[in-house]
Amino acid sequence: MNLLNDFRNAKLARKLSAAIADAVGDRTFSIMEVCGGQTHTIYKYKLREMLPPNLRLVSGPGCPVCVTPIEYIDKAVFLGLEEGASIFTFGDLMRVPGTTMSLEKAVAEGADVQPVYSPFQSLEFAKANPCQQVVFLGIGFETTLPGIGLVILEAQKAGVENFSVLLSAKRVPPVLEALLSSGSAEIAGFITPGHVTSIIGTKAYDALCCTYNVPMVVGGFEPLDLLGAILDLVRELAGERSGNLNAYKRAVSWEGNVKAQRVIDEVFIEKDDELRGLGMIPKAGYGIREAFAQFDADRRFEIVTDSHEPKGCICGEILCGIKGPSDCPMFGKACTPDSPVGSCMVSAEGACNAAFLYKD
Amino acid sequence: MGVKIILGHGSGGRMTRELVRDVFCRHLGDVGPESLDDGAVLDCGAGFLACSRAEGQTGKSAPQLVFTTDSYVVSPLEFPGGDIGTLAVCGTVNDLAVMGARPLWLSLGVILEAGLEIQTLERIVKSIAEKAREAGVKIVCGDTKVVEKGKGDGIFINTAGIGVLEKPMRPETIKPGDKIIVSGTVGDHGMALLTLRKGFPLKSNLKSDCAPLNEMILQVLGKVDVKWMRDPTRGGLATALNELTEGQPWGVLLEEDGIPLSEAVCGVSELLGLDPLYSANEGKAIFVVPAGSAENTLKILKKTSCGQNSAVIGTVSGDFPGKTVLHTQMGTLRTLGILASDPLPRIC
Amino acid sequence: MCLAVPVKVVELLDGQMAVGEQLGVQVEFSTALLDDVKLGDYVLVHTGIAIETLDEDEAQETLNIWNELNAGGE
Repeated sequence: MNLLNDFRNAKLARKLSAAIADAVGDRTFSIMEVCGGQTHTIYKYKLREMLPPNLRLVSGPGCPVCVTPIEYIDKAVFLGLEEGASIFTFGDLMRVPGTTMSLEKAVAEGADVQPVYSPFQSLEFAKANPCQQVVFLGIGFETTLPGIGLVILEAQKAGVENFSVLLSAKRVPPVLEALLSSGSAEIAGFITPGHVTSIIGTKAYDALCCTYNVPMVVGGFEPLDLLGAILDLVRELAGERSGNLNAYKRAVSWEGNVKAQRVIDEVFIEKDDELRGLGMIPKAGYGIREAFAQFDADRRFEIVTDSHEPKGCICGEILCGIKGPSDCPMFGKACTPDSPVGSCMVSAEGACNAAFLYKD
Repeated sequence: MGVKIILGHGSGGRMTRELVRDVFCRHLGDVGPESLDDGAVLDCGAGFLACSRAEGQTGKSAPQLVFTTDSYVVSPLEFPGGDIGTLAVCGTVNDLAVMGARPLWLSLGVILEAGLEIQTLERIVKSIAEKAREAGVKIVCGDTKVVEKGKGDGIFINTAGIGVLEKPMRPETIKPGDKIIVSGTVGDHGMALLTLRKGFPLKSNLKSDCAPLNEMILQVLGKVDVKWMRDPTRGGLATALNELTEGQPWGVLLEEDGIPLSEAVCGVSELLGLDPLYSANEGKAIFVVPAGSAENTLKILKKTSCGQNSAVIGTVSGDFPGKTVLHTQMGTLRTLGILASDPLPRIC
Repeated sequence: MCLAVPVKVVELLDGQMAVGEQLGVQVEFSTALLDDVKLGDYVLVHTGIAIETLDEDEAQETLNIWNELNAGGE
């Protein structure tokens, strides 16, 4: 079997599409795909064309670039320009606008900013250049966090003194709880993020399903994975059930990756955290534990920023599923992928970017 | 556009176009280029006629020249499938060839950074010679400058090229039903270079597709009424086709399943979350031909060394005016926009 | 949010590292988050780190369920 192409089969997609239409019938549902990667797949394969018009898909806040507060970019720019640190980042963050500039523009001002594939590349660079401060921009949800934890553990083991992480790590379940408890987006069911759930396990959503009486289905990232998850979800909705299901069984278990959970627990500690557009959410983020304080860029450097959000940007409401990209007066005009105003236009996973790139 | 140049302005996508429009074209005005094609068609007119009469070639009309220029910056300087010298010849030769010209002469300007190994330079110049021979062009003039260490990336090259117009392109004759052909797998050059980025833990047998296409193109031009050609370099296939369709009363419908892709290009695209249709090519041409000539064009292309994997990838369609649309493997239709700025590995 | 790609483990290296392959491209990744990775296993790699071993039987089972959908007739 082929783990990529078998899940991009047009014939099976049509079957799933028909079954979804059957299950939805003439009812109207709003469901949210939580993860930006899922949003990307939906746009890339134009899956909306395969779904009944009375099924509304809402893009969720599961895009680390989108929910990272503007202050974070300002801090990274400060470290690159004022502290002269070498900044290593996932490519997605390069073009996110800060209060005064993006990292891409900081490069034009003389900062050393290098896009990487893996956080390990930044540690390797730090080992090879012991006189240079190296900062890795550790953004992400639970999927990315264990890897950042591994790098910090390795840095400690190897006694690397010039390496630190500027952390902005978020947790999916508290963010979903915040969306549910506010009730503003009126989402009937959630497609939960496949790769986050590989780490935290399906069990992480059980309490939410019960408390809020809302179905959740883990979805993968290939077109069939998403259609399959949507089918399971609309069947739950049609049957007025609120199950916590898994449509991505090849990659996700009930318990999750226990070893990865242990790494997270060893290096990081849950904390109340701010998400761009969503505000402060209890327990929604992680900090670096005291035992690893020396690898925390926030503690190592005295970072000074004066941050404020761009005027007129509605990324916050888009991330909550209250509004869509086309509701924003700046969409496609003042705000484009070349000169993004808000974070949702920057990230390839951002709802605005995907909507712009794949617009009709 | 912002107040300073950033790397994105050199990506060949929308940012580059805006820079050219808002700074270069705006100020050059009446002395600027008439079109933003790959090269300019120059009418030598009376001057040439006087010359040819003197040589006794009366009765022959003046040939039209095509003139182009391109600068080359690439890191690393040497890569599987070529080096900056290979690119500097092929890129300029191909720009002339897709204008319908027979490339003849090239200039060679190099900016060297102090500290560059002479041996490296020799290898690059050897590549230049080899590709010039292969393409049948002569390097007729040149210039060398050296900048301080740290002020250049080893070597920057500019080549200008002159060719004789064999067959002018006629995009105004394109109509629904015409076929879109690409001369081989797409995205190879861009993806090959991405895997070579410093510290990226990726390995593949990917090579740059860098090659002079003039011989292949001339063979097609000799037998087929080609309406338009383009070498889809920076910005890739999708950006090149957007340039074709923009503002037209017709559009292009591409068949995703029909687009030739090498396995490794698919692999790198998956691993880094990138779209090969936006990845650069340095040895591919896109042809727009009448529907009835498509088969013959393919037959000719497949006999050439650069065109063995050529394929019909789409059709000019009246249904999508001004747009390039992809019929996805899932059976849905997706509009392909032009590249915003350089593709960076999409990780999270 | 998290681009993770299935790769087949083709070589086990020292220091909890391995080489995986997808479509002819090899990628080096850390296996530190997984227990006993074996040659031939499919793992999901995210930012150079394997986050889970893929279960091929489950993958086949999922496809089977979809194949058996009686579309339009339910």
